[in-house]
Amino acid sequence: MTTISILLLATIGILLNMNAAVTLLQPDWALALLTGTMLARRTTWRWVLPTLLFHDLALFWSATIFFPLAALIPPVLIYIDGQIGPALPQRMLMLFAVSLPLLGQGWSTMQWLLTLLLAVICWYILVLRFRYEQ
Amino acid sequence: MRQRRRKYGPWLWLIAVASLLLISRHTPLGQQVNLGIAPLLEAMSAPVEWWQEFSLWWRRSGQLQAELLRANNDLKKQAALLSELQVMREENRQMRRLLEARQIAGFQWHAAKISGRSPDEMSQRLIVFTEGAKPDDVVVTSDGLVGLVDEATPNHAAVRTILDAAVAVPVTVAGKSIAALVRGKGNTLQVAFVPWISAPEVGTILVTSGAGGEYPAGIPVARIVQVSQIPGDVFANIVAEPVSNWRRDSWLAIASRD
Repeated sequence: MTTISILLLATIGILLNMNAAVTLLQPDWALALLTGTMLARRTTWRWVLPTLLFHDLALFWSATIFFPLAALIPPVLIYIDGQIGPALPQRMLMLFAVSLPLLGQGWSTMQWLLTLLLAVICWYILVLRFRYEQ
Repeated sequence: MRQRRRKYGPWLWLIAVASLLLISRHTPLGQQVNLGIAPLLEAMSAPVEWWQEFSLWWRRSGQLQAELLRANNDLKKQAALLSELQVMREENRQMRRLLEARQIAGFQWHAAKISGRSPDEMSQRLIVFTEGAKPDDVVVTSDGLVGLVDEATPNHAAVRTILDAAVAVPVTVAGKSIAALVRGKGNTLQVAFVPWISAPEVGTILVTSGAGGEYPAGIPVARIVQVSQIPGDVFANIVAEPVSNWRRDSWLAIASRD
C-alpha cells in the first residue's frame, strides 16, 4: 500500500512540477519523495530506481541526471554501513550528493533547498511508516 | 538458486542499468515520456478551466450587468475585473501578433497552447497542445523565436527551446552583414562567430538569417546583454537573452514547412 501511495505521489509531483512551473516556487517533489524512500529503507531500490528513471526522462529528457547517482545509494550504503555501522552522516551525504545535480539543471538554490528539506521530512515519515508496517 | 541469484544479481542489474542508459542516449525516450503524460497534464488543469467556463457561463446576460453595477461600488471586484480584462487584452495582443507572424510565406501555421513546462528557472522544454505539428517545426511567440518541435503526436508536441544546448540558430542583425550562431547555455544564450571589430552593441536584437533553411528569416531571436573581448581571439564573447517569453505567454504558433 505504501509503495502504491509513494508511486502515485511521485507521479503527481512530476505533473505538478510541469503544470505549475511558472506559478509556484516548488521543490522537485518526486526526487525528494523517492530519495527519502530509499534512505528510509534500502531494499526499496527495486521500484524506486525505475521511478527515478521515469522522473529523469520526464523532467530532463535524460537518464543521466539523478538516476546514476541514486543507483549508487544501495551499494554505497551497504559498504559504508558495513565499515562504520549504520548511521545518519553517510545517509545525509548521499542525499546531498544525489540532489546536487538539480543546481546544474537551471533550478534555483531555493528550489534545491526545498527539495532537500522535503526529502528529510519524507525520509523521517517513511522510517516511521516502514517500522509500523513491520 | 538463491546463491546463483546472489552471484549474478548485481551483474544483471549493472547490465540492465547500462543498457537503459545506452538506449536513452540514442532514442528520444524523455520526449516520448513527456508526450505520454501530456493528457495527464491537461487532466490536471482541466478543473481550473471548467471552473473558469462555469463562472463565465453564470456571468453572461443579466447577471453580468448586475455584477458590473455592483462592481462600480465594490473596489475589490472592480480590480479583479480590470485584471481579468488585462489578461484578455494581453492574450488578444499575443494572438494578433501571432496572426501577423503568419504572413511569412512557405510555412503553414498552427496555434499551440502550452500545457506543460520543464520546472527549471527558464523552462528549457515545453509540452504544447496542438494538431499537425512535426519534428523540426519552428515554434514562435508573438515576440520572437521559441525553439523547435522535438517530437510530436497527433495532438501534442514536445518543444526544445533555444536555451537548450542542442539548439543552434543562425542569426544576423537587420540591415547588417553579420552572420552568427546563437546557442543555448541553460539560462542564457551564447552568440558565436562574431568578430570583435564588428560586434553589435548591448541591446541589439538578433534575428534569424534564414541560413540553412531551417528557420524562416527575420524572426527576432535574442537581445544582446553583454559584449566583451577575449584576449588573443578574433571573435567577441557575446551573451544574449531570448526576446520571447514562453514562461509568460500561454499561446504559441508553430510553423510547418508547406
